[in-house]
Amino acid sequence: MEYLDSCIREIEAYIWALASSGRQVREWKPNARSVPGPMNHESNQLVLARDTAVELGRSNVGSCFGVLWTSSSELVEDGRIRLVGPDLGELIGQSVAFCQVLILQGQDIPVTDNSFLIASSSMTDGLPGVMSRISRSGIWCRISYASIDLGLCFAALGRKELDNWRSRIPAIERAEVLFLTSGADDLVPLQGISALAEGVIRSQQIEKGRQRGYDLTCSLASCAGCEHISACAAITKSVERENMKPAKREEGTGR
Amino acid sequence: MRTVSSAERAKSIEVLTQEIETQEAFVEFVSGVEDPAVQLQVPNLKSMLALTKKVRQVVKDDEPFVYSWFVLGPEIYHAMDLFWDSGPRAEFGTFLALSVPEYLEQVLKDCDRVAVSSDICTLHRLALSAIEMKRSPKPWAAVACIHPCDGVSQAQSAVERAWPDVPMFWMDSPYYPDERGVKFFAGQMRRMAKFLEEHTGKRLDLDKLRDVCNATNEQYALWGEFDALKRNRPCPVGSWAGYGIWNMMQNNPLTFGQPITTQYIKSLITDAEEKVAAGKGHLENEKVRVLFMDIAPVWFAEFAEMLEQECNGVVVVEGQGGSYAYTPIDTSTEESMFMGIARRNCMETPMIRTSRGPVDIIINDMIRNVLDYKIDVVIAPGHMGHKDMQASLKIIRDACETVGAKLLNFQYDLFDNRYMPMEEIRRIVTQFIDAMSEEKLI
Repeated sequence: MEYLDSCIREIEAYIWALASSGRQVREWKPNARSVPGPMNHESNQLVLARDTAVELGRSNVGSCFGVLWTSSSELVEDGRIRLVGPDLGELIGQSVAFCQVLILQGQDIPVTDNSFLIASSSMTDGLPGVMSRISRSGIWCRISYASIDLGLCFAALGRKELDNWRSRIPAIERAEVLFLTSGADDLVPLQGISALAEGVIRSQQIEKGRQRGYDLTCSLASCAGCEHISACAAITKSVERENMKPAKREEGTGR
Repeated sequence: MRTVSSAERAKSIEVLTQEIETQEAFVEFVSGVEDPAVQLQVPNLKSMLALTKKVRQVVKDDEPFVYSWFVLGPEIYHAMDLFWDSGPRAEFGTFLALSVPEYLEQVLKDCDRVAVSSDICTLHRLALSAIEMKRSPKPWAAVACIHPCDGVSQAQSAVERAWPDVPMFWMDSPYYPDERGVKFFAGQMRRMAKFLEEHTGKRLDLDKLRDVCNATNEQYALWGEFDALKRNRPCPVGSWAGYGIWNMMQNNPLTFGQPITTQYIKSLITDAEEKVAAGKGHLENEKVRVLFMDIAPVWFAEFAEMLEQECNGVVVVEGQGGSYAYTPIDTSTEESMFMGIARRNCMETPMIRTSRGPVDIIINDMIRNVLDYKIDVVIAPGHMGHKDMQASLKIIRDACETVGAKLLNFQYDLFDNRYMPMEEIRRIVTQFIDAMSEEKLI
């Protein structure tokens, strides 16, 4: 569970760098705010364009969504909510790039089943006037005028999201969340870290596969000792033979 | 050296002309229907008609065109000002087949005779039969799609045999949807562009590529807005209401990245927003929300009518939907554009996304769709050609149980009702939904 620790540290370093360069970084401690408005609202509610006060992460402006996890308690400050950039009340009428990263800590967080997927689909359940959707490339949110009037801010949004994740995944011992609204340029390094995290997770899956006796990929880095070496050699020869023929057709690399 | 005889050309033109006449009659009929929901679909139907006319004109004038698929870089063809034609499109004579039973019977008989295994997807056998029977016009060059399934690569080999004088580029694809895979496919796209430049005399215009990427980025964002409205209960639109978006955005070179497509999506959004705001659904008494985990069958209209009238059900999400999967293309550099186009075409488009790589993608798609759209019933994986999905049945069923949706699995053919007649489909679906409703499981 330590394999994403370096990504978590990179995010910490990046926030520090943003703060040093003059970006406003706000931080709320646990239980700082309660969630405004009525609870138990129907999940997956809609916020229509005409009712939208703030739009976060529309695909044409950019977004990033990530969930990182660790077993190291010193890497996660439980309940902490941080915001880089303007808060919701300062963004009325705007559509801005957006990033949300959750950092979870626990010894037995179920990372191989569908818990994260289910938790992320229900993040804003119970928050009236907030519509969110996680996509492969990021997160898209609409916040209504009514919810802003009720005092919704990132402190409240973050608290609610952390509560939702805890209720969905009881193995979470500590959790914190980072929001970023300071612009598309600030988003890019976080997208890089997110991609890096995906790569690390993938490496772990490959390693686990090897431990179970099957190879999920071929790195092409070293063929020594590979049981498929003769099959690969036969395919390579066949491709070479094919390439020697007069070119009636063009080919990619596979045939 | 490519040669096209006058008889071959005449055969293509004859079928295309019949298809145009059928489409014209259909567009005229639909234009007269007063139902506003039907009227919203008229731009899509008109664009299909315009496309068939364009194919005929290209054949008549012997203009350069490439035979390809919507998942093989239409952004690039657009930026080369190169018209592309696709097998399962006009030459199949879709409207003709749906309107004239004798024609459909003949097409399916031709389909049974093609030189590939009879158990591969009927779509590929239809495309191949159009080529073998000379209905499909011979292109100047072809781009071979050999993913996501073994059926398509088998069919492509047969296409090569049927068109021995057509230069063909074989587009290879990666397995994993990671950055390494995207980079590999971007390299394939670059090689394809060079190949097309060589064989058609057209040139890739990077400014035009940037423009079309920007335009389509905006359209994908709008598609996401439309899809979000379908989360409402009751669903504001009917089954497969977003099919036209897919068709105009990805499958029709005349509307690809064009303002008419942007306007079309906006009109659908406005209509759906009004219904949501008024608390109106497409059905007065919506009871069952369906995820149809496959591309649109040719019998979709009959199926939708049956689902509505007998089950109070609506297909909220279907295989060509799923706008959430798309990543905007970064247009800042040539490299970033090729990477973005590769990601979109190889990792995000319908079927290619779910059937090329690990089963995780299917499961993630399904869980997201079930939760986001409050799906009651998942229909999957049934198409006779989609054996990859059938192999994943147990995993899909387990995932359905996790998120509380009921899975209906039965076999059918998306394109040939002889495999599973509509009456039988009706019996299976209505019995299942009735049983689930009686037990209060949905």
